[in-house]
Amino acid sequence: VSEPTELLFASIRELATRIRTGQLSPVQLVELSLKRLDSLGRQLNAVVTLAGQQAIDQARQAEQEIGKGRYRGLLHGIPYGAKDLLATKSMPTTWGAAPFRDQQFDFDATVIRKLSEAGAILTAKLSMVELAGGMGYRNADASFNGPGLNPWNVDFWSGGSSSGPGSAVAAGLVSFAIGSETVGSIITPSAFCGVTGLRPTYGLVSRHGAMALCWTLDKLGPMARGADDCEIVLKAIQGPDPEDHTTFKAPSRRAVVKKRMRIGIPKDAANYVQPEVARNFTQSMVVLSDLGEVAYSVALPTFPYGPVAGTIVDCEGASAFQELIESGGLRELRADADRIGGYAGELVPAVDYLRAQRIREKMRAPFQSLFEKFDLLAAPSRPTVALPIGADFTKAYPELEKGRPSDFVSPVGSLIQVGNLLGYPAISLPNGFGRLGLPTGLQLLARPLEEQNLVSLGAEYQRRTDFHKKHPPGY
Amino acid sequence: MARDRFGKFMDEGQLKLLDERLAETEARSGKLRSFKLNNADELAVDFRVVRA
Repeated sequence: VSEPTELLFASIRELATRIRTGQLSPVQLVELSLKRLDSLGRQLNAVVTLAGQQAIDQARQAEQEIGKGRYRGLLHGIPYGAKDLLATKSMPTTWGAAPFRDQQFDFDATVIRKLSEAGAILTAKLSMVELAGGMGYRNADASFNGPGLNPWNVDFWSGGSSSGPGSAVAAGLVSFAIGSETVGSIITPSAFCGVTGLRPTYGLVSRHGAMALCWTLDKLGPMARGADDCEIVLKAIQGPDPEDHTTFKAPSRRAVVKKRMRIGIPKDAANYVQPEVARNFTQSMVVLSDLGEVAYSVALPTFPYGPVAGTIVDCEGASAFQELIESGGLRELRADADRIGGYAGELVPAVDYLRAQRIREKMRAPFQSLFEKFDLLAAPSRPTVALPIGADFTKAYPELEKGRPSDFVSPVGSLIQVGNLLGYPAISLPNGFGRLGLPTGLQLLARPLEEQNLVSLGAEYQRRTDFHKKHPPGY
Repeated sequence: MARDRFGKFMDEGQLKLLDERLAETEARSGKLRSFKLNNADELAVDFRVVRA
């Protein structure tokens, strides 16, 4: 990490060592982050608001504290970005949507407060898909400040809905970012941008001050360089919060860590995905088979995962934004699909929502049984590399449909859907490159509260591979 | 119902898009209904009494 531009590609642990020992000034690091966010970040449509002087003042304060021996821990002096759905009292919080572009809260979200207490320095509010994608967007141009561009190739999308966190981490604009996931919004941009993203167990991280899309699904989590970085950030933000009744205390590390894990691969996990995605997944399994017992062709319990998740998102999203929908405010949204999605959401029968929640409950026991046989389930994070800017999502890669049975249900999508429906934690690890040099990802799903298994295996995988250390040419 | 409640906010093109979206919602509803549930199968989201 000798070159200044390399600093923001270093791991948190590397930076922390240099900051603690006085070899690196937090002011230098924060100024570098602000400069890159202002230039590269804006080119990528990754930045909504820069923290500017406030971040520099905080960096100076961190430098003084550390100089006086008051070192707070690994995040002290580390610059980060937050998806622009987290309330901040010093900056607007736009939710990525034109109707809220001037929205100002008078408090900090719990996650922002906890990171501030840990000494991390917020350098920017980062872009996101408008209303976290809750109105059913169908292409990348669905943020009020333009589509999130992928630093690996700006003709492609950075993913959603945590588009800014994905590209800002990948382009070395911040050391880490906080994203959110309702159904796939951390895993997808992490895979598309080649960064490591951790979706925690539902309730492990307080959502107080975060935009609500779906109360029964929303989670906040870190997106960073590697699994170790994600663990450092998670430890700082997790824990009970009286402002969020779904939160609870995390178990101790010793309670859950496993030395040699049993890893299940769902049947068809590498079928009807791009060939490079299949190849990289197969190679990942070779690495993982050194670290655990890998079992192939594991049958996932049969449930309508997609319809259940879609119904819940539509209904809870329509309820969360009912005033906006019924006042005609959807007209101000960017994407055509988002301008009508809320109306469709309001018209889903209540019995459908209730039926979806009843089916969701039925998923619990079969997955508890499945996770008695396995510690983790693994699949590609996404069936393809990033989607092209301008393309309808369903038409971006039509070749994948060739020969695919009409009733085929992708285990890749199912793992994201059921993981979110059951509140299980997951991680996406960069595992290679595909078409046009775009990154691919490996997703691992664990039992509730077993994030430690995800980050332990993820860190071990990343000791044996170097995909997480690659960064986009020109950045 | 969609046109009655929200038609004033949409042009013809958007109404057509909404029709397509509602058709998808209906198809999805059919998939939910085809999953067998018993009378007593409860929700994933439970209600609990909180003692004052």
